[in-house]
Amino acid sequence: MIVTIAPGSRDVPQSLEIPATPNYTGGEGNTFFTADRRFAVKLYHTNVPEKPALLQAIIDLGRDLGEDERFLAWPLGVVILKDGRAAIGVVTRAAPAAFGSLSKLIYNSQWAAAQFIAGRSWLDYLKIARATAAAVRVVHGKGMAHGDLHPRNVLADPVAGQAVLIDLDGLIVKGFLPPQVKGLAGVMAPEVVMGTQPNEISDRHALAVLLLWTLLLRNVMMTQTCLDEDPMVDDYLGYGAKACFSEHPTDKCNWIGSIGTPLFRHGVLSYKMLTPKLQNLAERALIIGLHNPTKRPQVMEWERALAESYDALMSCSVCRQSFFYPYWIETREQRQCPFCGTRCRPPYPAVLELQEERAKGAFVAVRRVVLYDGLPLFSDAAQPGSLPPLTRRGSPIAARTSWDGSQSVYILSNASGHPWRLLSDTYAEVPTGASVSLRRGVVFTLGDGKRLVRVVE
Amino acid sequence: MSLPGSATSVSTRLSPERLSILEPLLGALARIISNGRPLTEEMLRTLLKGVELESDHAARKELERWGDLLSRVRSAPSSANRLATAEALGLRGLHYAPVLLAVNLVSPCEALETSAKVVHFGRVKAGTRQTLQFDVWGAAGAVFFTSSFIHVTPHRFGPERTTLQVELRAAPCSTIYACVELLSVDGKMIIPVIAECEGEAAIATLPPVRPSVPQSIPTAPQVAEDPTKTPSATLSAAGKAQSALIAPSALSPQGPQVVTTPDVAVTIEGIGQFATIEEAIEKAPPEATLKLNQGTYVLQQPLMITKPLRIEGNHSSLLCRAAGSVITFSGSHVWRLSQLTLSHEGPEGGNALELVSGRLVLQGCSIQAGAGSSPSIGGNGLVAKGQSRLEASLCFFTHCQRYGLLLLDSAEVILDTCTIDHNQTGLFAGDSSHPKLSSCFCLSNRTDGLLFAGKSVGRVDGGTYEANGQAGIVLAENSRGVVNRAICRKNLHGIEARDSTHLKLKNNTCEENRECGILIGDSSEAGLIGNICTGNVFGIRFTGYKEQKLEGNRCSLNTGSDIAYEDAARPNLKSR
Repeated sequence: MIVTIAPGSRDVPQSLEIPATPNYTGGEGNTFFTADRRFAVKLYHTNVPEKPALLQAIIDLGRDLGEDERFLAWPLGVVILKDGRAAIGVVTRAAPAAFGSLSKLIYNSQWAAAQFIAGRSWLDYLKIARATAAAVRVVHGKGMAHGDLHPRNVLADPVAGQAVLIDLDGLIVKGFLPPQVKGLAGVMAPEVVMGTQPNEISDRHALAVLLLWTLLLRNVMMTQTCLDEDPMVDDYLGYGAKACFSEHPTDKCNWIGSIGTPLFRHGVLSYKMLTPKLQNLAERALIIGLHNPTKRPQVMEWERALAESYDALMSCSVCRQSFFYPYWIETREQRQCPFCGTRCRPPYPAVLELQEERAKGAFVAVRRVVLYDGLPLFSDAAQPGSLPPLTRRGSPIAARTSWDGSQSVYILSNASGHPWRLLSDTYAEVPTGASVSLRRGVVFTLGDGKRLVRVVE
Repeated sequence: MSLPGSATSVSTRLSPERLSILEPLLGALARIISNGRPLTEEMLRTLLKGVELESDHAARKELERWGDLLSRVRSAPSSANRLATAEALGLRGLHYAPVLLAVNLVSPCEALETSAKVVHFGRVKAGTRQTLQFDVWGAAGAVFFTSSFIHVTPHRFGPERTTLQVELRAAPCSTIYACVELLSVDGKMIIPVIAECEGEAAIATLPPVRPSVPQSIPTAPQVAEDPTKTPSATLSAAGKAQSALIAPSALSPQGPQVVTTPDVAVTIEGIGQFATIEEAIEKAPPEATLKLNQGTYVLQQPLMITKPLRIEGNHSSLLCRAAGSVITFSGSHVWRLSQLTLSHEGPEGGNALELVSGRLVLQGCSIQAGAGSSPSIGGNGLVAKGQSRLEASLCFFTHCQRYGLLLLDSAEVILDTCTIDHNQTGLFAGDSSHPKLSSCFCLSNRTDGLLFAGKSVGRVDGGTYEANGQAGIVLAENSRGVVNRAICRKNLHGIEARDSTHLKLKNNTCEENRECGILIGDSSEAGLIGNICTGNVFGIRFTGYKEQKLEGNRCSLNTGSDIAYEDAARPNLKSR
């Protein structure tokens, strides 16, 4: 079949050839991939006359996405004819073949476990979560809302840890582009379930659920009690007025008994395995802000916290999974791998606090970094205002960590090319090649105008 | 001019032509070495490429030699080494000026010496202030510091031993790391100041903060007295005359009060010694300097001073429980008060200081009023009226029942590095008053930190406005103001303008306020340039109807909206 594209498209040929049978059939329309798999064409089941103008508006809003376009399958063209007859559809770039629906990776713990057996790491899930947050941040940054965030609308590559947000033909702009769908029960915000229109604030809820689903491999809002015999009413109540976070501190209506038990021991992951900033965001989104939408955290906060959490990762010595070293648990002997339950053993990783200058001479803590033998400290950690990049392959190194068994202390060797300065006890210079013993309380700068480091433990 | 040297004795010297091409690289070498970077072959080759001598083996050897000399003096910067290095470089045919500049760059100035190379306060509580001192000698010069969290006095030093006092005002942050620069004619020395701050939460529960007696850095040759030491006064029966001496441990209103009487309360140079302050003031000639013996003096009646005087408090306290202000200044004179704590307490009501006219200069004073008093009478730290002028530096206006400072009529007030905390309202400027604040702390006041009202015209430069019950800084009624580089954190609103105010907000940081970073309402007109609003509910919010100018503001991570405008608000956004 040949589809004809309306003028005003972005880098799309005037006509495209698509197969006779759709690659995917959805509620709104059928999706086809072009033979060269460069484009995805969605033809709507019903021809709504206003749709082409709405789509064109969305296309125009995506003309200056720049690098952020990698997170999005932004509409590129409007289909006006199919084999010479009137039809309405949308053309987007097609994600590479390695990308599949996120729902297939996270639908339940068993499906995720199958990925782990196939060699995938939880770190890849963390990267997918970050890319998803980045995609929604781009949409919200343009003053738009997605309105239908759920795992099937995210395509993910578990090998590369990349994600692309799709279904952007229904973007919402208040006063201009109205919402066309309400969302998916279990992910959409309670107020949307109860009848209000999806918007940017309801996206914040949906994104929180989606991110936690990706990280914890379960829907943290899943109802566990039957509120009505009618399934529709049950969903209406369970995900609306009576919606409750599964780990709500006082309301245990959606609590699952195995929360906190290691995943590979038939348990389910708890949000308490996440870094304190991510835990705080989860609480703000799903406890404080669940029925108080304006209290929900912004998408950018999620993206930042996810990016920062890269530096809290370590690898389990038994199951080899990556997890956040739980430095927030006071007793070190109680820290364990959330996947297999193996206790962390000495030498325990060093935990550093990065500080940034906020007023001349006054430094405030921004985040923590976990270091262990052989792990480098990357240069981005030294740079004020910077976040870890999406991938650190080829990133410059500021320091190398090694364990000095004779002194039972980690040593951080300066590899930055400029001197550091010890601020605690002495004011000694640490030139390139020299090192600092990471003893608790030691404070040092990572160079002039750079971040400052305090050793927490 | 070349340093004296024997050209014939140095067989590998370059020709003058090649040396003149190579000489500019001395500065480059010195800069590289002063930054602590090891000199590599690759670096030398690159430098030589810059002057097109990369293939000149002799030039590379010569450059290497210079680098070696400078590296050596950097690692052992003694006077003898500096001199030897300068001589050696001179022998290579280099000129005097670049040689000395290079040596000065890689090693600290030989003339200037200090008793401490670093001022380390250790762990300090956020919101408190502490003082350490160190000595400098060897050359005359000036002291510079750029952080508003430290203050160093005096600002100048001579070639003889001078004791510099570093006062730290612990900000609600994790670490303070700032530098004191000692600049003399021969060069510069940098003394880092370091402190680790404990807990932001501590701010709300801090006891009244008073100017502290300086302590010496342990390595300093001079050891100051223990600040907690009871003044060495003779103990005798209570209540003698009108003044009494109280041990500093009784400074707290709730604390035990051991009343003692000094033999001598005040000394006036050239006049004599006096048992009571009242007597000293009465007998002091105009322009006299009253020096108080250290202690706390309880006044039976408030004081009225109508002649020009200087009072050096020596860290003493004046306390009055009778009705009225502890001291009222009246007349067209100049008064100077330093290192003195003034407090009014008890049910009678009164203010700590009242300035009816003239000019009052406060330095290192602590002002508080209203403990236990009726809330309707007095309870203000300082009241300035008429056409008076107040200049205060390093002062505290704290724990006042009502206003820390109350400015009325056309009073002009200049506050530099002052702390205004735990009052009902920090500073209220009404009528046509002119407040100017620079690098001040306004913390934990129950309502607003600063409130400019009436037709007052205010200016705020730098400083921190934090944890106030309402807004950090408010402009109301018909006031006008400029707020520049202020940090407003954890208030209800960071900066608020309402009614018909005109204001310019430039380069301020408003973060983590419970509602708005900046709130502009009613018919207020604002110019907002380069402000950063982050972590609030609303970054910048307009609820009025006047056109506003926004340029280069950065709003992010606000949970509601970054920029919100409602009703008939008309912001004119140039860029976000």
